[in-house]
Amino acid sequence: MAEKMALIEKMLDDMALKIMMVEPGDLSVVGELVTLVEALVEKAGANGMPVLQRLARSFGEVVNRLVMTELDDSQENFDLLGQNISVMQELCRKGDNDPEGEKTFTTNLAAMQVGSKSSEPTPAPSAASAEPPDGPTVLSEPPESLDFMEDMDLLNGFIEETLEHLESIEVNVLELEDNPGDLEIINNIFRPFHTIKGVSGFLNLTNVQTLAHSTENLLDDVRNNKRAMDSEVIEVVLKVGDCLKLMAENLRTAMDEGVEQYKNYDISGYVNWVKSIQGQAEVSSDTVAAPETTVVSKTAKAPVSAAPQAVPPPTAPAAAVSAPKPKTGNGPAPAPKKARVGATIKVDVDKLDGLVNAVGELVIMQTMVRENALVSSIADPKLNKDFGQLFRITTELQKTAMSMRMVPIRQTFQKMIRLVRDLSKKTGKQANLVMEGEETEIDRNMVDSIYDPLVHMMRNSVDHGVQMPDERERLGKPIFGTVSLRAYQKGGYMVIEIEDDGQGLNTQKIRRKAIERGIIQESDNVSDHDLNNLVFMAGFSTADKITDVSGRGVGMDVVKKAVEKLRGKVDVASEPGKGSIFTIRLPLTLAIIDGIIVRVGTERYIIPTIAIRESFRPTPDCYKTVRGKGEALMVRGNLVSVVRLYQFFNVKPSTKDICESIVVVVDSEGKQRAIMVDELLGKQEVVIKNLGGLSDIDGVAGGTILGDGRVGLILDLAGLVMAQTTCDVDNTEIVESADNKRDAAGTDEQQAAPAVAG
Amino acid sequence: MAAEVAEKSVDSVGGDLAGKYLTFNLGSEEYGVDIMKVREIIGVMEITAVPHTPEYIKGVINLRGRVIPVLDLRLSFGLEPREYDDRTCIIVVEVVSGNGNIMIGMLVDSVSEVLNIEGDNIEPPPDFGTAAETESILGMGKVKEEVKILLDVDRVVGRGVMEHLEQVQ
Repeated sequence: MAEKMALIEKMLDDMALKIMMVEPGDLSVVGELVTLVEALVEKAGANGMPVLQRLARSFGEVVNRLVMTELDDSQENFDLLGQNISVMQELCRKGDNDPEGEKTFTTNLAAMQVGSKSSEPTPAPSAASAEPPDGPTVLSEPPESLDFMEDMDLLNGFIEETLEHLESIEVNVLELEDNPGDLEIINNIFRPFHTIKGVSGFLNLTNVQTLAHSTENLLDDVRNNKRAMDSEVIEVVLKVGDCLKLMAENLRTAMDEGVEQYKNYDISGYVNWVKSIQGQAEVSSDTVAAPETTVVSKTAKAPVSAAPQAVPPPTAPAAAVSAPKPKTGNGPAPAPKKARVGATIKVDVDKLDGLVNAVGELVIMQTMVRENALVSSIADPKLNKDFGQLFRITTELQKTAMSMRMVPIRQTFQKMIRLVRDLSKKTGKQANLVMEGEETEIDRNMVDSIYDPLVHMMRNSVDHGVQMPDERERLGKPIFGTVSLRAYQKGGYMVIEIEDDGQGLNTQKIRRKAIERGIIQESDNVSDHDLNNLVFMAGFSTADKITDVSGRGVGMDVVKKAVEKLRGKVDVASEPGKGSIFTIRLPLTLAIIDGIIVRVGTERYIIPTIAIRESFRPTPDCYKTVRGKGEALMVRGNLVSVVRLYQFFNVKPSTKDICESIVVVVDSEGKQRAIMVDELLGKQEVVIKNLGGLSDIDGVAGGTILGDGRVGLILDLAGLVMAQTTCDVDNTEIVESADNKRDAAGTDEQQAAPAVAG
Repeated sequence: MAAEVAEKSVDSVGGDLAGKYLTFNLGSEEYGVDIMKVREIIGVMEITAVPHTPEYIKGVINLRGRVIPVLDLRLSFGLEPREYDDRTCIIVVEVVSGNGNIMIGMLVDSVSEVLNIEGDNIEPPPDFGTAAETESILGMGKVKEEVKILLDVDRVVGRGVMEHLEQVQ
C-alpha cells in the first residue's frame, strides 16, 4: 500500500515538474502530461482513492482540451493547472479526503474554462457540425476485431511511418501558410495521408483509415482547385494530424503493454467536421444545388464503407456551415516550433556506439602498425606521406564519429526562459534572461544530467542574486535585472556561465560562518574567492542564517556533486553589490577523459587530469610519518596522506622508497591524497570503457585501451580516497602486502588541515 | 534426492543437449561447451590485472575495442595453475548475467575440436555425493571411448563473475 502511495506521489511530482516546464505553444510537454494523468487515474482507481481518481479524470479532460487548443495554452491556465496538481498532492497526503481542496480544484478548473471562453467569440449555435470535436472520445465497447495486432512487425512499421508522415505533414502545412497555393506542398501533404490510408486499410485499422481517407478527399478537392487551401483546411489538417498521432501512439502502447490498452477512438466528430468543410466548398462553388444532397452524394462517392460509424448527413443549414469558423481568438495551432535545418536521420544509439568503438580501434591499430619496428625501419618518403594522409583521415573520422553524439545545448537553455519568467513572477523581481552560445554542443548523455543543476543555479541567481526592483532603483541599477546564460567551448571543456548583476555574495558573512563552523581558523588568510566557493560545501547549504543574510547557497552542494559526477567543476566569482558569476566546466563528452598515464611496476593506470593538483618527487624532509605508521607529505604547508598504489592494488612496484618514486597529488570531493607511483608516462585522451562483467571494483572507475592495444585501468579517485579512509579503521586487510610500512593515512591530521586550501 | 533427479533426467538430458560442442583440455580432462555460446577463440595475449578480484579472474583484455574479463578455468575449478604456452587459448563465450549478456574469456590449456554429440550419447552428470560439484555440468558426452564433460557456461562463468560481485558488495 505504502509502495503504491509512493508511486502515486511520484506521478504527481512528475506532473508538477512537467507543468513547471511547460511553455505556451509547447504542447509536447502537455502530451506527456496527458499520459501521466491517464496513468494516475488508473492507479488511483486501483488504489481505492475515488476522490483522487475523480479529480485526476477531470484534470485529464481539461488537459485534453488544452491539447485540442480549445482552451488557451496561456500562462494563467498552466498556473491554475499547477495549483490543481498541488491540490491533488495535498489530497494524497490527507488520504483521499480533502473537501476544501476539492472545492479549490473545481473553482480552478471553472476559472480556466471561463478564461478560454472569454477569449473566444461565441460560436454560432447552429454551426455545431462545423466545430472541431473535443478530441477523440474513447468508445466504451471494444472493437470487434483486433486482428491488426497479429503482425507486430508490420504494425510497428506502420506506427513509425505514420508518426514520421505526420511530422512531415505538419512541417509542410506550416510552410504552406507562408506559400499558399504552392501545389507541390499541397501534394506533399496529400501523399502521406494517402499512404496512411492505404496501409491502415491493409492492417484493418478502420478508424485511422476512415479519418485519413476523408482528409485525403478534402485535400484532393484542394488539389483539383475545387476549393482553396484556406485557414480552415489548414486547421482541420493539423487537428486530424494530432488525432492520428494520438491513435498511433495508443497503438504503440497497445503493442507494448497488451491489447487491453487499445482504445477504440470515436472519430466520427472529426469525419463530420472534415465533411462539413468539404461540403461547404461545394456550396460555395455550386449555389444552386442543395447543400445536403451535395454532401450526401459526395459521401456516396467516397468508399468509406469500411467505417464503423455511419456518417450522418450534416443537419446544419448551408448558411451556418459556410459561416467562417470563429477560431481566431484561440492561440496558434499546435504546430511544432522546430524548423528543420538540413535532413536528419535517426540512428540507433548502439549502432552509433559501435561506430565510435570501431573508429577508436582503428586509431589504435594505426598507431600499432606505424610503430611496428619493421615498418618504421622502412625509409620510404612515399610511405611516410601515406601514413600522414591515413592519420589525417582517421583523425577526421574519429572527430566525426564523436560529433554525432553531440547536440546543441539550445533546448536545455530554452527551458530556462520559462523558469526565469516564472521566478520573476513569483518573487516580484524583474529579470531579463540573456542567452549566448546556444549552439555549443554537448554530449547527448549529459543533457539530462546537466539540466537539474542548471535549474538550481538559475533559480539561485534570480531568487537570491537579483534584488527587488525598488532596491535596484535605490542602488542606481536598471530596474530589470539581467541574468546571462552563456555556453562556450574552451580548452577541451564546455563552459556554462550564469552571471547576474545582483547583490553578489556576502563574503564576510561566509567567512564568519566558516569560522563558526570550524572550517577555517580566525587566523587563516583565505582569499575571497576561496571563501565564496565555500557555498558549494555541504552543510553550508542548509544553513538558513547564511541564506537569509547573504542570500546564497541553497543546496549548492547538490549542484557541485551533480557536476562532479559528470567529471566537471563548479566555481563562483562574486563582487559584492555587482553580482556573481557561477561557472560550470564540463568535459565535452562523457566517453573520453583526459588522463595522465602512470606506471606502477608493469601495470599502467590512468589518473583523470581534472583531479590532479601537482606531481613531484618527494624529498626526505617533506616526508612525515604519523604515529610511526601513517604516512603523509608536506605539500605547500598541508599534510597530505600518502596512498601507495602498489599496495592498494597489490602489484609489484619498481621501488618502495617514496623518495625515488613520484607522487601525484589529487583532489577528490575536497580531500587530497598523494598517490605514489613509479613513473609518469604521459598525457593522453582516453576512451572510457566498462570492464565487461566486472564492476564496482574499489579504486577502479573503468578501463581504456592504450596506444599499444593493452587495457589500462582508470583510477576512481573518490573510491580510492574512501577505501583508504576505511583502511584506517580496519587496516588488517593490507597487512598481507609485502611492505611492512603499512599505509594508515593520517586522517586526523588531514581533517585538521584547512579544507579550503589549494 | 540427487539420484532421483538424475534418474528423472536421464531421458530428457540427452535429447535437449544434443548438438555441436567445442571441446578443450584442462590437464588430462576433456571438456565441451555448447558451440552456440562460443564467440571466438584467440591466443593468449597480455592481460591487464584487475585488483581486488578473486585469483581466478586473471584480468581484462582488449577484444577489438571491447574490454572483457578473462578467467583462468584451471584456477576456477581448483586445479593446479600452469604456465601459459603457445597451446593456451582464450575461448570467448557470451553468457547471460544479471545485466544482460556479457562476453567473458576462459583460459584453457588447449582447444581440440568441434564435435557433434548425439542425445543418446549424453548422460547426466555422475553423482559425486555433493551437489555443488556437478551443478555446472550439463552432462557427460561419450565420444568413442572418451568422455567429455559438457559444461554449463552460464553457470561456470556467470558464477565466477557473480561471486565476485557478491564479494564486493
